[in-house]
Amino acid sequence: MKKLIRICSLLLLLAGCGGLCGCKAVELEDRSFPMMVAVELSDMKQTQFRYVFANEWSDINSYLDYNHLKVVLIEEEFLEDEKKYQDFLTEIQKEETFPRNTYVCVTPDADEICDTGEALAIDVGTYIENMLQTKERLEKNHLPTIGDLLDDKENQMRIWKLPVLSAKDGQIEITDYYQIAYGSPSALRES
Amino acid sequence: MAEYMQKTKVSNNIDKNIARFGEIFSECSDIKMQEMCIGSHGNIKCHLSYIEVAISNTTLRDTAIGKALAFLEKQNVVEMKKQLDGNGMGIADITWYEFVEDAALGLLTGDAILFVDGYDKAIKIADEGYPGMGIQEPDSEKVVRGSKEGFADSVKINTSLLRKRIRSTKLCVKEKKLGVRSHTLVNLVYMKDLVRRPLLEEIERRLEQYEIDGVLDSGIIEQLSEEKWYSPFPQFATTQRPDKAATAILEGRIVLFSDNSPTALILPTDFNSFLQTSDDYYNRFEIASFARILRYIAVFFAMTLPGLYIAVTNFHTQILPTTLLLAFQEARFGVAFPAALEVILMEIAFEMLREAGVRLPGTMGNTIGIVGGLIIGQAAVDANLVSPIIVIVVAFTALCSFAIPSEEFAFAFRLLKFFFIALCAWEGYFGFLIGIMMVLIHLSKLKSFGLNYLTPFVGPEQYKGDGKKDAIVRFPLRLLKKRPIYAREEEKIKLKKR
Amino acid sequence: MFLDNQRISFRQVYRLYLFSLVGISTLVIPGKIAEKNGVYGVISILLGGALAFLYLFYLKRVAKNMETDLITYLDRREGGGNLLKRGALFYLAGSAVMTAGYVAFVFSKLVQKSLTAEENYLLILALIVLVGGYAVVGGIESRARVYEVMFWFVLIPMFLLLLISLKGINFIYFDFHRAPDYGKMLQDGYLCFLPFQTLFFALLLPKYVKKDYNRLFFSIGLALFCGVGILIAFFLILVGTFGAEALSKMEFPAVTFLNNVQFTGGFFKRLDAIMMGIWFFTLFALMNMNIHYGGILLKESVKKGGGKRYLLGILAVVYLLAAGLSYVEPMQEFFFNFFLFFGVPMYVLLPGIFLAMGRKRA
Repeated sequence: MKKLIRICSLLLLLAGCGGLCGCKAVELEDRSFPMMVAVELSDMKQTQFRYVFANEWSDINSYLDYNHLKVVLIEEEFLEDEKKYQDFLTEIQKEETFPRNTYVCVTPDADEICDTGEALAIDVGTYIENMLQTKERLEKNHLPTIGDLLDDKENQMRIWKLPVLSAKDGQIEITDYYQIAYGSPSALRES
Repeated sequence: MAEYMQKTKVSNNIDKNIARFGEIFSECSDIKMQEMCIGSHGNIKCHLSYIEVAISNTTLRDTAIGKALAFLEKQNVVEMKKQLDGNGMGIADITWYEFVEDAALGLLTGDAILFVDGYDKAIKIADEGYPGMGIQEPDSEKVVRGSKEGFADSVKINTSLLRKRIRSTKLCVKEKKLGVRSHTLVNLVYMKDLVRRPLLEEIERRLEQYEIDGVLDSGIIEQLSEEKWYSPFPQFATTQRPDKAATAILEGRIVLFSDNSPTALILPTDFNSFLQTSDDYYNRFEIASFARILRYIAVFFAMTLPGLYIAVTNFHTQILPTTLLLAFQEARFGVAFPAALEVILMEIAFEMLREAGVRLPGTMGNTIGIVGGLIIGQAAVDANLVSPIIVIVVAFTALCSFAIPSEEFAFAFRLLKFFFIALCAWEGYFGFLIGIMMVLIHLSKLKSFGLNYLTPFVGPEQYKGDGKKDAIVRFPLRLLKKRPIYAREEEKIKLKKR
Repeated sequence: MFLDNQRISFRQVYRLYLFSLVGISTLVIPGKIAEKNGVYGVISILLGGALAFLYLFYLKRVAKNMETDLITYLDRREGGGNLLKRGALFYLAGSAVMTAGYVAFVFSKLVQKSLTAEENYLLILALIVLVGGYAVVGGIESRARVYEVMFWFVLIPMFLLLLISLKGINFIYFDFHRAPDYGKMLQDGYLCFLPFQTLFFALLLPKYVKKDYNRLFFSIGLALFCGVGILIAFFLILVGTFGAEALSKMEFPAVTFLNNVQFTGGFFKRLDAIMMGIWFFTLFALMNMNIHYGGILLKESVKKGGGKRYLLGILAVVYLLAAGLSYVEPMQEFFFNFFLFFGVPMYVLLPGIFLAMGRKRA
């Protein structure tokens, strides 16, 4: 009788676990790795994202793995709408979508950067990351990341200078810096 | 479960003894029985029984039997009994039996039995004994430096190999017979002044625990004497090397030999002792330490590498650099199976290859490694059944398991590898941590004759030896002054400067 | 033959306690004390640590007067049938089980958030509780051995993590100009004392160690000292990295912090998943400690046989509590307030009451 109870309990436990079920793995080949996400306003003034992936076969309909996201590129027009900016930060903080160590840049025209990036040997996200890391190393200063912006949304203590990127002669360069002061876009540039 | 319930006393009337002996060995064509006449007048009947190949030609004057018979030929009836009782023949290895059944068992040890008319005991005279393999180099415990001798099938030869290395009067050999039908000789060898008496009593108690038909190998004793039989980790160390067994005895451990088995059992044992080899002590400490560290790393990867690969690629892609990850992704395109199934299939295929290599004779076994590893592996990759990364992961895992000196110990990790694959496929790195925790908990509870398996890494209060100096890193020999925990407390010092 | 007596060494006591004290304190405390006082929260930690040392000193006096472990002392003084004694032991068992349930909840939430984002919470919890039960079955010696082996594998990465993160500190976040709220500072000091309530189990330890109260309490004191030190280091680094306001909004700032740490020049990009192992083992230690002592106290209070049944019952209760905490939000506040206003004060008062009860009888 004791043995029967034990066997039944074990089967019940296994059945219960079967209902809970693990195995939430997504295979590597079923993932798409965005290297850069451009945040811009659509024609209807809604927030929209444009993705640049690591390789051609990735697409937006597969599982998006942001673990290797290098850069979030925000259009200047988007930053002018403070509410949209704050909502964007709140959303990414809540969902924890983008890794905190992703660089943040600004651009007047995200499409121009993405189109210029297509002609590069490597994906534009990696290209910009390399450029920013070199700049950090040479100038010995820390360029802002998503984590910094999220923290400053609460702390409101610092002035962050986001690199402004422009495309020129098929190259992407830092032409200016955009200030985010005490958690809000200040619409001020260095130049 | 004794073989004979009733015993017959050896009679003065040889015909009765012959009749009973013949009854015991009826239907045994390999048991030879020769009637002869001895004595100065040739009027004393005697009867010699032996196993056909176990005894050399009895007419040769150089054998003990031949010399005994030649001696007895000169005795008269009156002197015969006195000479037989007093071993006037001068035979080194002689045994007297009062019962015919005991004499029959004595014959089965490979010696000859002599009945003499008018003498109320049977005499066992040793000779060549059973045929067996001689001393050869062990094929599983190869060393670069050190003796190339290995144990043989005979428990007597094996014991003598230890005596050759430890020429001390304190080296004790306790004989036991196990197996109701096989009557297998089992020797317990230890140092009288080093061994812990309760340990000796415990192994003796465990040997008496079961009645079994036959003990054909030390592996049977091992399995019947283990405390936690369900654990994948062995609780006896095994060796085919006399130098390793001698080292164990000098540490205060007990070595168990079983007749017809070239594998000796060493007890007690712990995790660390499975990763020690004989040549660790013959080489310099830097070499030995480097090899030991490699083995510990090998143990970890032999168990966890395939699981970690699945955890990283399916759950935690942030760990790898982007370029490597994209390379892995590209390699996986077109592969039909999910990563977990791929790993399991390759691991099973590899285990089959390994098993086939062991079973196939000689050069075919070597060839199968090349055929299997290179051709089948490459073909599987080309056919998009598996990705090239998996072949590398599986091959490296296999190399790691080969680097573990003890095969039984390595087998535990080969089994646990599948457990980790399942956990990591299920829950990623969390599954890996759960697996590590479970293995550690199991090892923390596992004991070998009362000694915790994680010695010398745990339990400092009982540890007055130098085990930690001979664990992951081997300290210079001149600093290993104390014996490890196995020896008695009062006999810890093994090295002293004069 | 070899020592196999369910006794542990003082080194093992130190390591067990260090693991238990470090886990939940570094996870939960920094976020809770940063909000009002910013970097001055370190004073709250020091206050909490001081309270913990005073408590430990008090427990040492009680233990020395008892001359044995708590259960044996009560058995000798009160006998087996005393209702008050059994009630008190039952309460303590319940408190330990509640703590274990809370830790299991935090543990499962942490794993779900940082390691297995899309996994079912109940499944994670089930695995954690079952493995916790497996760990407790082997007794205190078995647990001690596990943590003795894991000690350097957890501590070394932790120190490396703290060292590497030093370069990410922004001193601007150490806003010393902010006026501290002294009332909140004192409140937070008491809050910092909460994770150290497991010091109470020192009264049950004399059964498992050599009879030397000075060494026993020294080992626990050393673990407490190191635990407070590590908490201070974590707090300062977290404030310096995130800033006080951002820190106070984070659920598990230590884990968010792992995402920030950059191992420049290394092969691996981010080791946050691997470093999670630190909290895995430390929270596990704390949960197991409470399950282990909860079982002992329950068995003593009920005084009936059947060892494994108690464990199964406790595991079931821990599971249900942790599940409830996840799905019923008011339960979290109830638990927190229970420990704050009743649980911890009882841990402080009960040893003195037991001692007084015993003295009266004797």
